[in-house]
Amino acid sequence: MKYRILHGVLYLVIILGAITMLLPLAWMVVTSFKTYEQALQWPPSWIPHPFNPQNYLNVLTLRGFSRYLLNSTIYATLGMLGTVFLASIAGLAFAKYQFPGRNVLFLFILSTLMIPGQVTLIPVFLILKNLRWLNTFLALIVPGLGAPFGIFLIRQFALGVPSELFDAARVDGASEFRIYWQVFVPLCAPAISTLAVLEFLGRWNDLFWPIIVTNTPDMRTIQMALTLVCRTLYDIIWNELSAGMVLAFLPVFLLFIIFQKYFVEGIALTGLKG
Amino acid sequence: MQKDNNLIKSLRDPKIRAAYIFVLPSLLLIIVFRIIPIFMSIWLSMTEFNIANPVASKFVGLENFKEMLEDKYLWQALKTTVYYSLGTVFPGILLGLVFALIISEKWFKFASTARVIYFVPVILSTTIAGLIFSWIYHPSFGLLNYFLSFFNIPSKAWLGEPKLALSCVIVMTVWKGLGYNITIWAAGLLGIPSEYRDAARVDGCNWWGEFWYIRVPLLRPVLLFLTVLGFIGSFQSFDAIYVMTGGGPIHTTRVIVFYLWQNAFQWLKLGYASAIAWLLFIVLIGLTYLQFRSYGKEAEL
Repeated sequence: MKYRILHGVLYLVIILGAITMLLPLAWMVVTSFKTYEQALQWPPSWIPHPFNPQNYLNVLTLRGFSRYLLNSTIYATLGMLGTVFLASIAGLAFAKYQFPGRNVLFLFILSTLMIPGQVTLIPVFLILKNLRWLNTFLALIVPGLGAPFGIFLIRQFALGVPSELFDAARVDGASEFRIYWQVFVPLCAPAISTLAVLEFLGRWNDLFWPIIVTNTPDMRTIQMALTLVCRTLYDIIWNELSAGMVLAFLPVFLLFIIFQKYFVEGIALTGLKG
Repeated sequence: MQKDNNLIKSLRDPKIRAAYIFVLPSLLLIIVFRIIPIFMSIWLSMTEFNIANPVASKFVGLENFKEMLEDKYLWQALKTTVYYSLGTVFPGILLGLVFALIISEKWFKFASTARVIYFVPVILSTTIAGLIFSWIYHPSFGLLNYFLSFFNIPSKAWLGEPKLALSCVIVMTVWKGLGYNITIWAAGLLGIPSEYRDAARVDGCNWWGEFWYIRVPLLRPVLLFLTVLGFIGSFQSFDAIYVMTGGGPIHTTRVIVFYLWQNAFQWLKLGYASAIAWLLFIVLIGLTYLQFRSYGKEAEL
């Protein structure tokens, strides 16, 4: 009996916590369906009346969010594909090939993890400026393609894959690239998926890097747009901005529902940023 | 000479050739965008950089570092960063432990559902999280003032008040990171063999005794991991401040990376900003050292 009361209280703590987690998100969704007048109504109401889905249309067309969503999709997808490809071939080489300089090169690459991004930020900006890459997708994507952590992650996983499988493919006459593609990638799918999710999410949610290397409206990423548009001189047009936020969060949320395991694993490995 | 010959000979081996081709693109990118910039940054930190005409940049030796010592805004930013870190890391870890302990108990039925719900804010971008909270903190139409009005607490400007703004950002950060802390704690709790706990119970320990004497010592590596990773993350935070306060009101929320960014990209003092980056590096290298040690300990667990 004593325990039943205690357990009840603890369930309540978890439920209240869960409500606290979801309430701000619910408020975003509710606000996104309000009219401007209703968003500024006092006392605030939890039911949008009249129901106003027009915000989504306005944000996508008048406010240019379809372009910003496209930009973020290009940035996050190409950046993710490039990083995962380069990190996985390098990780494979470091784990399963013998070649002169292997250990030195690996330690060299790993040691760059000690350098925080803020130190290299300004020089990389200047390099991109000299290349005339600012305000292009090249500036957004290319500097991030060399990924020491990704190489490390894939290598550690690849070490556990039995070498006999590769040798068997070689005996069958497969080229080294075919071995990568048809033997290694399927075997390393868990590590590759974790890295892919991490790289995609990092870019989709990133604000800092796009702010540094782009400043034209047509290069805005979705997160950048959220800090800039749907504003009057004095305040934010909260109902429209909320619609924009829902659109920015929806792709990530859907991916999370599908690839939950990889999200949790990847983020647990690397910690929080922002 | 002998060595060169070996290298050339080894390149005839298709396996070795493939390995070099696999490593080369990553290596080049890392050299161009990570290694060379380190040396550029050392040079930059000793110049008064002229962005319009880089050739006219002036070498000033350690002048930038001297300026840092006398820059009271820099020290204010460092202090703010320390407050922000202490305010986010420890409360987050403690709350995470409490929630992880509850959902890890055997009688708790909805553990996986709870974990998913608590993880949703973690995948939300800091930009969106910051904007939602700015809306909730809104001085005239915000949900928070509305809730507090039921308790007859007068409206506040929250992010507009110098004494409250940083705490308001901290609350958002803890909210967003709680699911992460729970996940790591829960994984640590799961890693403790149940025989240890059963043995303690057989020896007459109650829940608290068993928690304090069995689980707490075993969870120390997890605590270290969360602390160090938390501090590394919060010392580098930028997005939350940029979105919610822009460093204000009257600089009370200006953290170190935000001040660095202002110096570099608003006031174009790229040399001075590079010097600040090296100060940050020294702080972070200490924390990173601890991080690698805690990874080692994690592996032992």
